[in-house]
Amino acid sequence: MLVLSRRESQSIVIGSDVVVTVVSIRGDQVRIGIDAPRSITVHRKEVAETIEAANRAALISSDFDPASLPSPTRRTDT
Amino acid sequence: MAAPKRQTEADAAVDSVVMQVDSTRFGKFDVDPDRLLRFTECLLGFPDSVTYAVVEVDESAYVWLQSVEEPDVAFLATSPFAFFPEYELDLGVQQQSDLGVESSDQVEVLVLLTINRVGDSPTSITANLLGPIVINVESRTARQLVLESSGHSTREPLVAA
Repeated sequence: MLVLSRRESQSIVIGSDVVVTVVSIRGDQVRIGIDAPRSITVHRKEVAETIEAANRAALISSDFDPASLPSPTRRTDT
Repeated sequence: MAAPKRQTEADAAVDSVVMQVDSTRFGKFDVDPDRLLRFTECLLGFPDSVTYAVVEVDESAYVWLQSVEEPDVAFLATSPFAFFPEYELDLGVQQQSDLGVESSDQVEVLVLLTINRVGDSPTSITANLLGPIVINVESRTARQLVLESSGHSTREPLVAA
């Protein structure tokens, strides 16, 4: 892992088209600005991990029978 | 001469050809191109699946999303609006541009369902409202959005308690 120091308003360039800027530092919080092409998605890591875990959990095993799914028109309150 | 000829035929057939999909659940089956979805970005956790076949679950609000590339990757999905009438999704300018859509009638939304189990028996079904799949119905392209500041959950119970 590359580790380097930056001050407020200084930037890091990743590849040719991603620029990460330290916008401000307040106590233990750092505001970061990211300029990246649309093809690159940027997520907070914990959010990306949450979504990935949810996607994996949504994988349906091949023995599941969808006939047991509830219908939106006749909700059965449980 | 034979090789270039084959190529021409393949090019001409691209828009109309019925694709055969191999799946663990359904075996081999044919899919019309207008029932395919191409993800401009893969579902997080499934980098090898770009294309999914949308398969209706008979007379229900549900569809299967069957990966074309990975036979054993299949999801159940539904429109969130049928179960969560208050669900809202606001596409930003950039997201509209990414999807190539201008109005809401070009967009379809699906959410992935999770069958939660204890042992062998399904206990509850939850929907991932935090990461909806947004589809451009004209180009059949899709991507999973992450509604970071929406307060939605990845495990919203499907049936109201």
